[in-house]
Amino acid sequence: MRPLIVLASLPLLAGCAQGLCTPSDDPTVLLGNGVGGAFEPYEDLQQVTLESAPQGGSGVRVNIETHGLLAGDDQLSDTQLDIIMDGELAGTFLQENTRLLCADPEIGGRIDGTVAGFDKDEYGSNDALLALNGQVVTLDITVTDEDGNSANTQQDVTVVYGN
Amino acid sequence: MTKLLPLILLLLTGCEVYGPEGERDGCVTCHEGIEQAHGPIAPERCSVCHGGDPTSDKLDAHVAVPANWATVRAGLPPSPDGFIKDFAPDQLDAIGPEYVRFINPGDIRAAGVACGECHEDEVRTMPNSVMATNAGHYFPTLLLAGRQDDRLAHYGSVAATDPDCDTSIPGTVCSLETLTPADHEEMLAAFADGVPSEDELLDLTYRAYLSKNCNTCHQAGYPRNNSPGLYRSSGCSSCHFVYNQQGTYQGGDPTIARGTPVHPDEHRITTRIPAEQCATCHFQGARIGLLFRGIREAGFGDAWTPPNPEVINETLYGHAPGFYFTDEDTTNSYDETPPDIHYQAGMHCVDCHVGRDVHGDGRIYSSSKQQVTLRCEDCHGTPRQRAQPDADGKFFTFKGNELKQLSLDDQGRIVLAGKLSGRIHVVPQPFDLLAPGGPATDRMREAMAPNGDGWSHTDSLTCDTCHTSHVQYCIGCHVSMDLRLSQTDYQTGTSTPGLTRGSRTGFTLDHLLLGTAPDGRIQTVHPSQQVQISVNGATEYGTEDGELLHGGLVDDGEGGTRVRGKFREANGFPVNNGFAPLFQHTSSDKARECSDCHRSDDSPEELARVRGVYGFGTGEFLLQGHDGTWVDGLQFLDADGNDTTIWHHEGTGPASAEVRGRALGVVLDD
Repeated sequence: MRPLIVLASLPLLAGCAQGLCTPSDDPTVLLGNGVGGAFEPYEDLQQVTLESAPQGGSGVRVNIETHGLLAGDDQLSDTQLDIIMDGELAGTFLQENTRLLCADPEIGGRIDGTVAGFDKDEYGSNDALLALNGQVVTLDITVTDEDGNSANTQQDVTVVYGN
Repeated sequence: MTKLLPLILLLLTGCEVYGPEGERDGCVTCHEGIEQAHGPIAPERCSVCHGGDPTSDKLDAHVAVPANWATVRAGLPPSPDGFIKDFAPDQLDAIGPEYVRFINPGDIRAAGVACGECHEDEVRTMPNSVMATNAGHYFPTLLLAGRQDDRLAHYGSVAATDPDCDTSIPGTVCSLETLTPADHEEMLAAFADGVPSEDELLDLTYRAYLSKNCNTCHQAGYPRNNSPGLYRSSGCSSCHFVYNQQGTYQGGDPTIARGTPVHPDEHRITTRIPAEQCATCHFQGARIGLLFRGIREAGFGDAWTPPNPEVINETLYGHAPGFYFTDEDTTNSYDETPPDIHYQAGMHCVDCHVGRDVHGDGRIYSSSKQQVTLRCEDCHGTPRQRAQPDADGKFFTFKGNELKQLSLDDQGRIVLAGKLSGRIHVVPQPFDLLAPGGPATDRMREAMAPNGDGWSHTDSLTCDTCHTSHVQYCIGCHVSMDLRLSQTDYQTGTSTPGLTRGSRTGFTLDHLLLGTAPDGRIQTVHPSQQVQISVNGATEYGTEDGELLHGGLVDDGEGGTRVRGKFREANGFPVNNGFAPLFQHTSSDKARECSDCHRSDDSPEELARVRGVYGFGTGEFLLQGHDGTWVDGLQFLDADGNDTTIWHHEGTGPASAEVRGRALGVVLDD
């Protein structure tokens, strides 16, 4: 064990979570699932639950993990949340000025619990929502940090209605 | 070097040996920098609240994750080991109080040995309060659906008992039981001989709907804790630990992750609770947590969206960005949906609602209307007298709850000390405003000062009837249950048959409705739980796939059909649409126009408009039933003045014929 490695591991062991996640030339975005800080990256065609929010509106909830974007306690971001089905937009929402938090410089930035919604006019009825059950859609998500750096991912997932 | 690593880490991370019993807890040697949750009461004595063994090393100091944790958690999203902050009440019961206490000493299962050491009364009464039992969200729907005959709660999100119950106290009951949905076996049994009777089918449906949709907002369990705005704790900590919108820690403990939920903003117990914390639950139902802050729901589709709204473009309360608006029209110079005047003044919910209002008094009330003790006059007085302190200078609500935030200043003025801001607010007293030479306008004097007969509008109307700047309520609620799908139930935490969902037909921001409040005065009324039900079957239960078991198909106007739920036929009414008086929490110092409640001229059109205010219908919000017939969603009186629905809160209903006659008889001068 080299002293350098020991020193490098100390922030993790001490829970050093107050750092800043710094930008890089090739930022990336991952989508995943989990609560309480857990993050399980989506696999291709991962099943995601279609949730009907209280008092109306339906969508899928995703955790976003960024690498190479500026993230920290005071860092804001914009996130474009698009759902594409059969080549058509099934929902498009812009999330603005949301804190892009740094889970850890080694892990990356995080925005947990973001909802990518389906268009209310197209997917407002029970029949329309039921028709989404089992459909493969693409979550097309772009995060832009406060410095204007952007990263995009297009993740194919399978919508599951009910659980 | 490798052998020395633990020692090096120990020294460099500050994790030293733990103190002996009776001395400083060892916890803070790792959690160095954590906020002292309870200030001087238990400094550096984590175990006083959290339990565990503070004299041991970390492995033994922490309460171990129970062996059944993974089993109890089964079916919930991935989480860190030992995570319970999205557990439903039954799951928290199953995991055991010692571990629940370790994670959250304020939970009702643990608070007795933690918070209750000093706050015995609050810990005794809180589990029976409406915020813990959620009782007020169950009985109205069941009554309107004919599932029960009285206006009392029988079910709650948590079982509750009041051993000293006195049912002569209005709205109280001796106990509550939980409402759980049918599991697969029960559903199979119900369908064993074919489709159950309508009565049995509705019983299965309401159990599933209420349990799966109403159960995440009460103190006996955690919410879903999975999306911005929804993060909070349970029990006492639901309110007394403040969570920011993203549920992330901003304090000084280096061992608590800062970038991910679910953590309070700081490890600090507080009574300085911002309205945003209350809104983690009160964004739903009557939406008072939104309206108070000048936020209204949108998300009804393009046809319902104004051209230039001010939008909150954030994920909030489980909704995609853009679901909430703060202004209807950014091109004009005024806000159509302003925050409540108290919020504008820097006040928060806790500046008014204290003591019994929030903690209860140990009684099991069926509704917040019975538990909450406050009315405007308790602070503002009446046109005839100022708010009155007792001989000791203490102020009380009309039901006897002390208002410690009120006092008299050295000029004899009634003042309120803002809990969050620390600001001293002089509480306006209509008595002083209306006094001879006072600043009241002629219009205010006409409306509020006693007239020649000694009568004032304030004798017959609650203050908010006129001083509500706007309302928002939805009209019509199509509840569906589809047995082809399953859904997590937030009583048990498990997935059970039937996906339930409620969808709204429409909404309004400015349709004033007036009815009778529990105290007999007139108050703003809104539609409440206007449920119409449809149920689809499943081959698994012996029906055709998706067969419509309850409800009907109607013409969709495009050559096809659409499903419409069946209205609730009960209590002698073919359509039981719910209505309830409600303080909207959109108070304004500017009163409504007289013409909102009285006729401006004697034309038939004007008469029809004002009759709409008193429940005769407006014709603007029509709800279609399962048989294609239409019902006015804002109507609770027929043309002859007869009730068209029952009302679920005791003492409430339409304005009396006498009051209606008097109000409708007024034709305002120009």
